[in-house]
Amino acid sequence: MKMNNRLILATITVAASALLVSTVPANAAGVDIRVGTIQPMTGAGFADYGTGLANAASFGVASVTAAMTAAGVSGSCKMIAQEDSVSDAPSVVKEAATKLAKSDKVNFIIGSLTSGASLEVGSVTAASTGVIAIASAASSPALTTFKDNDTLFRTYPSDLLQAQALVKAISKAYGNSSWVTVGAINNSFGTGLAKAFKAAWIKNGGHIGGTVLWNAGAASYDSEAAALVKTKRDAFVFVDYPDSFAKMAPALVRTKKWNASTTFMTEAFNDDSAIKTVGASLMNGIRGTSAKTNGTDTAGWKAAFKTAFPKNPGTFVDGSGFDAAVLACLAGISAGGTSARSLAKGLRNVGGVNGGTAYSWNQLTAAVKDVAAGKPITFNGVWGYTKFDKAGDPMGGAFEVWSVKDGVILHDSKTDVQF
Amino acid sequence: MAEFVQLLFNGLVEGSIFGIAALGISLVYSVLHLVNFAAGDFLTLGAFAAFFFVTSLHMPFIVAVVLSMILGVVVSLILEFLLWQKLRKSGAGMLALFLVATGVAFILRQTISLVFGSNSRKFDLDQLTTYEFLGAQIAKTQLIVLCCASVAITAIALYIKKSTTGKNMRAYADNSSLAAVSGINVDRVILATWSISGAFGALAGVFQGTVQGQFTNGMGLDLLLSILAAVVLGTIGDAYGALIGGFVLGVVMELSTWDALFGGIPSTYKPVVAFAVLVIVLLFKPEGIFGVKARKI
Repeated sequence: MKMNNRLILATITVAASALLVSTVPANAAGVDIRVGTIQPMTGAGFADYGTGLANAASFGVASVTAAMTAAGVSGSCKMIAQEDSVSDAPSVVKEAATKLAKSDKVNFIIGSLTSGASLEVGSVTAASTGVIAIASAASSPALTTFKDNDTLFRTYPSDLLQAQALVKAISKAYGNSSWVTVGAINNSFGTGLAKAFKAAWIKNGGHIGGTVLWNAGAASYDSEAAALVKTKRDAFVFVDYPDSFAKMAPALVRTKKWNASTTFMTEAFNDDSAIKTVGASLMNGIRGTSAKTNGTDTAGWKAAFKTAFPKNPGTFVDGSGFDAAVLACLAGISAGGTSARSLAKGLRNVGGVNGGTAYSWNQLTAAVKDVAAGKPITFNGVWGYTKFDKAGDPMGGAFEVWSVKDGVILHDSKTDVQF
Repeated sequence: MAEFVQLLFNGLVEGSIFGIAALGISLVYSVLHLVNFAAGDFLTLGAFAAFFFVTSLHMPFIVAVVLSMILGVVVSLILEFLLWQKLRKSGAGMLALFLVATGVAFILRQTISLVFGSNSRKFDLDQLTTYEFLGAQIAKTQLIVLCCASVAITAIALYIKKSTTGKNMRAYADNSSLAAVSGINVDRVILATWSISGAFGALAGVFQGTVQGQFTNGMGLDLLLSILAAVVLGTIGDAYGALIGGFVLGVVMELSTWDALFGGIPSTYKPVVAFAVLVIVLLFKPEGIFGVKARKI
């Protein structure tokens, strides 16, 4: 009888333990996730984008923290430091990434904005054992092939997809076999997209009339403009930023051989501030493609973000910073540890690679509960690209075709391209 | 022919800006033995100041240019009294001066960012009007800059050659001890040197902003290496040489892209060509194109 009592007691204990384990989140011990950002918050050209992405990342971390409290999940997700890359200068970015990884001991670095700077961050995380980078707006194909030991992710579609979108837009306007001259700024973003476009255009049956690259801080752009207009072409594709194209555009006009309406550009110009920088008259007639948000309830999020950060400058890509931060925090909860390998696995587990219930930005409490219970989820972000492939790139993307008329950017949803 | 004329003209315009900026660096080096790495940021200061005078105080552009030159002089003199004078008296070496100049450059750049913000700026000038000359399209702004730069270069060359202060500067640069004991007002020479450097730095910045139509707070830094190359090419410490070095550099950079020259090089390599020319010249003539060992200013 005594034996039976002990057996009953042991059985009850085991059963109670099992019950307890099944109702408490899988990582009940709690993991403290440390997040840092690197964005160009000052300096020429990118300050509005960088400030918006940094603010959005802070908002993302705060949102998950609130959800963790509401869900009763232990552990934490904290924004440790926000570094300014000052126009994404490579040396500044590398120094900031090293500081975040080694001194601040963060688990995730959100940023930076440009492809070249993001590769600098990737070179630091690749050499680390416990830090993951999530680039917010980098689009260069170079990030796909970069040897990063699965530590470099991004929430922005690759330019391999944007090149396809450009091909479709130009084919529709000028035909498959037309001649295109490509001009690009001489950095990893410009050369990467130019190369991807040329390969896709030739594969599509088109011809390339010439390629001209230019340096961002060149003393003059007249010889570059002259080289561009002497090529055989039906259309131009320019891959550039507003600050440098503001110097190139007058040089092109002065040649008297450039017609803006034959020019296609990319997302950096799909913004009112870009038109202001370059000049509405110089941009009149220019068309382009741009990655488009694929997110859920973006209008509601924008309102909530505006309330939280009333002075935020606001650009089309702010949501990408929010998504990156939310994914980072959720991945930490999912991983239950802080090794780079487990965090990378966690990112895929909450981004939808393994399926699971779909949650949007305003359902984070339920999302946190599921993740803490060890379940895979699909976080449908604000920007929207959260399902990562083996290279850390988003699987798929949506692009819109825009045009400028009398200083106003026009969009036609019928011409959207989905991959 | 049209392409050659176009590139030559572009090169002369850019060269005139390099030359004017290089003049200040070369003068300061010849008199004070200081390589002023902050000179690039005086270009930025000049452009942003002119922009402020035009857009915020609604002054005519020409008045804004003169005021920005005066501001360049004032900032140069403030630095002389607060910094350079004290460093000279303490016997600071070349390396210390170089580091301080680099620090001054950072402080100037960040101050400009704090005051004017980080966005790019542009003068409200007609960038698009061109005149056809031998098949080339000569922009109105480029033509104005080239004419004004030519006047400024001639004026400063005459000032250094003919005026008493100019002669004293040359004497001091040749032999500072001898100049001091022979009654030359050394302090006046130094102040004149900094004044010319500040004014011409600011003027070069306004010219660059006028030609490009758009400028950021990194403009001076972007041009600094080319300007320093012009200084060395024309013999460091030789003011006339710096002016000519600037023209040579501008023209060589532009003509290197000319199709007729073995197909031309891609324009992204223009700075590489400039420095290749610099290295080749220095290999055969270590004093620079026009330099002789004893010559100063």
